Amino acid sequence: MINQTGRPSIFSLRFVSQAGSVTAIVVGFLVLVGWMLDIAALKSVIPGLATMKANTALAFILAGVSLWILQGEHASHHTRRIGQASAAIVALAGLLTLSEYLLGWNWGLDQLLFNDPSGTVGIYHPGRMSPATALNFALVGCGLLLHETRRGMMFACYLVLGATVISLVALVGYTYGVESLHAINAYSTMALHTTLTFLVLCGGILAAHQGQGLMGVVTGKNIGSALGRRLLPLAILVPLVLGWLLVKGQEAGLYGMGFGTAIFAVLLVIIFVTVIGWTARSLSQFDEERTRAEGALERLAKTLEQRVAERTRELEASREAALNMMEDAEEAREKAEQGASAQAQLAAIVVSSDDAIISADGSGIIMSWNKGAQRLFGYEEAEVLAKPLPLLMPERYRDAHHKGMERMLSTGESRVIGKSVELHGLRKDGSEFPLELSLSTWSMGQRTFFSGIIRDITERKRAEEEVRHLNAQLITVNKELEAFSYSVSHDLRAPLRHINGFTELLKAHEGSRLDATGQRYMNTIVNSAKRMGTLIDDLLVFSLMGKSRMRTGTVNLDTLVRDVMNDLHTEVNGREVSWHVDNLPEVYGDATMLRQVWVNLMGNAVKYTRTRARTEIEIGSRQEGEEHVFFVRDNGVGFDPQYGDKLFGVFQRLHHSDEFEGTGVGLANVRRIVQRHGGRTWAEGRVDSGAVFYFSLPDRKEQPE
Amino acid sequence: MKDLKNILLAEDSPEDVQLILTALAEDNLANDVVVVRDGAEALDYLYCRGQFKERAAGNPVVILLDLKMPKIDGLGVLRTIKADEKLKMIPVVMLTSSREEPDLVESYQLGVNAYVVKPVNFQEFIWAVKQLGVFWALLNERPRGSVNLTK
Repeated sequence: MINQTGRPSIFSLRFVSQAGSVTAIVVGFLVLVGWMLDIAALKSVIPGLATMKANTALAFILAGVSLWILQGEHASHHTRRIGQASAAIVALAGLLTLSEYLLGWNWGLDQLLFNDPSGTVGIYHPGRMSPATALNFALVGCGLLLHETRRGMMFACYLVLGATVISLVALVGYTYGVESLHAINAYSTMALHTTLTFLVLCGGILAAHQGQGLMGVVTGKNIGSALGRRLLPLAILVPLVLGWLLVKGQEAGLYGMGFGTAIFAVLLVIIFVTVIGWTARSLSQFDEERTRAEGALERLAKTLEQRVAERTRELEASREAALNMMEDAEEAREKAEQGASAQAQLAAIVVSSDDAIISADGSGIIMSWNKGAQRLFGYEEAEVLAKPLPLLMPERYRDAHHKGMERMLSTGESRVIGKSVELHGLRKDGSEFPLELSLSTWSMGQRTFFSGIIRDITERKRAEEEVRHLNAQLITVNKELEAFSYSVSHDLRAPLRHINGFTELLKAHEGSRLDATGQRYMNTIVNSAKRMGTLIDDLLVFSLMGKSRMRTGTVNLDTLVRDVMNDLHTEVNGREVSWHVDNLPEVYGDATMLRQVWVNLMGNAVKYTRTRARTEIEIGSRQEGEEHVFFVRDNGVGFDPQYGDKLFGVFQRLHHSDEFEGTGVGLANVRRIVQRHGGRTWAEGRVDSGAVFYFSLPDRKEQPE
Repeated sequence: MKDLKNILLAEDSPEDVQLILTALAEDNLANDVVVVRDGAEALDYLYCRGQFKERAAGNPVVILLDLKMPKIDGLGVLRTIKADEKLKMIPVVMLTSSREEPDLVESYQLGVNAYVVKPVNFQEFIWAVKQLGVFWALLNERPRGSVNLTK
């Protein structure tokens, strides 16, 4: 079974490289010692075989030192320089020796340390390492140099592998005892321990790569590397061992060449089929396990996902709950603050109020009592607290109070809650007084409470009573006046008509017999009767102006004044009259009544300018605060200002009727109409200097009656 | 049954009666005028009772009613006439001293046929009464049923 944990640890790789380094150094030393003391076993292991040359041993020592330094992780920069220098010397030694072989030069390296006795096996140049060894050193030295650079790592690997292959070929030659192999010139002098030391050294260098470069193929943690680690030794060892057995069998004469080769092939097939089958089974087992693990992993992931989702939901819910709680808490805090401030405000109002503010519980027991209540009822707070409310009311209200409380508590309905009612209160001294009560109710828990604001309305009641009395009087007076005017219109007019009628009849009947004086008397009677008729009519109009209902609306005074001017046309016939009329505003009022105002004022202006050669009448208005002020100015006979106030009185005249006709009702009508519109009237004038009549009207849209 | 072309004048003032009759005399209508001095007498005449029990049958062509009269005033008489199926077709003219709006309104609501204010000026008064007499006694046509006497 292939286990991914079978990957060689960094520690074991380091051990391999350290072992390679130490082996190279030790072997080098031993061989040098062998040369110094001339110990054949050290020089060539098995006597008769090729010796390891002294410079080869030295190169091994340098290569070993270089490997030791370079595989270490904590070597200083300086030490690493030494390692690199050693590697460079090894590579140089190899390359120089190769150049000696290829170019036929002699650098004097061969005999540098020791003198190699001539006649030694396979020696053409005494003391000179074999070409294969030189090539190996060149490869290993360069490999060590390149070890330092990350990019050169892969190339170094190839170089070292090349050296390994060369060493292996030599080793196979020795083990198989194939003459032709180590009879090859290049190999003939690579000593056995040189070969072995190279193999160990190369292994050490490759291990020093620690899984980087080519070594990653067998040192990685994936399944390919695991297979590599398992099959590589087999691939190397099995053919070698089988080949060796085959050669030995042939040498022993057990079988011929052809048969040996057949057996060799069959055995290879059997071994590799077995190995492949075994590997395949391991792989499929591994795959199954992986699938199982993946399934388990998937299930685990799903479970985890669910748990995460659940947990998220839980967290979400609890977060929301927390938020809600925070909001609730905030709200409650705000409410409490508002409540506290409202409570403080209320308390201040209750204490300072002139009104009595009393609260009671659901059974009508007094719970609070302010100073206003004390003033109103005469009781101290201590006297009424925890006493029943009926204490404060006259006997006649108590029944209704009890019934009302019961109804309120059982049905929640009340005739007085939220309204103002007028009742009577009972003072401590037993006297009654009228009061206005505004009652409200509130609940705390299951209990209901009442609070009442009570105002003493004695003064108001008295004022109301007075107003009512005056009103009744006014209505009576008004009715009398109406009856009077009715009577005037019917009863005074009838005799007048009769005087008129019978005077006419008398004239017709006796006219011819009357002398001039008699005729004059008759005419006087007729004229007097006519005049009285006019007076009565004017008086009726005046009373009508006072009592008839106003029909209010927007009145265009420009149009109205122009109409009145047209009506006065006959009056000004033949006279030179110049009118100056400004633009007038729209006002709110009774158009018929306002027309009467203008008819009177403009008619007066025309009338009292009659004696002037040229009449000038000016009409205009101006805004003064909340009212419009209108005026009619004339250049007529004017009036004495000391009688100015009398102008607007009924039947008041400042001129004799033989000068200017009239009844003295016109301006009284003007004043009455203007007053009903909420305005004022006044006049300015001097005798013979003209007059100005003013009236004002409020600038508003609504007209109070 | 013969049509009576008479006028019923209800007027408490003898002066007014004289003036009215003077005016009507100018058109020779005065002889056809029956004069009563108050509302009660007016109704007695119309219903042929009391002093008018024995009078000739037939309704007047027009009734001239003063508004202010003793016992039953003009409006009371008007109300009775217009409420009576047999009298309601008789034209009734109110003759009064002044035009008071409430009187006018009530008269018309009761179904008055005309409302005339007696002018103060004598000439105008004469003219007005003559117009009334001529119009109602001579010009105006009325349904035959209205002249039927009720007993």
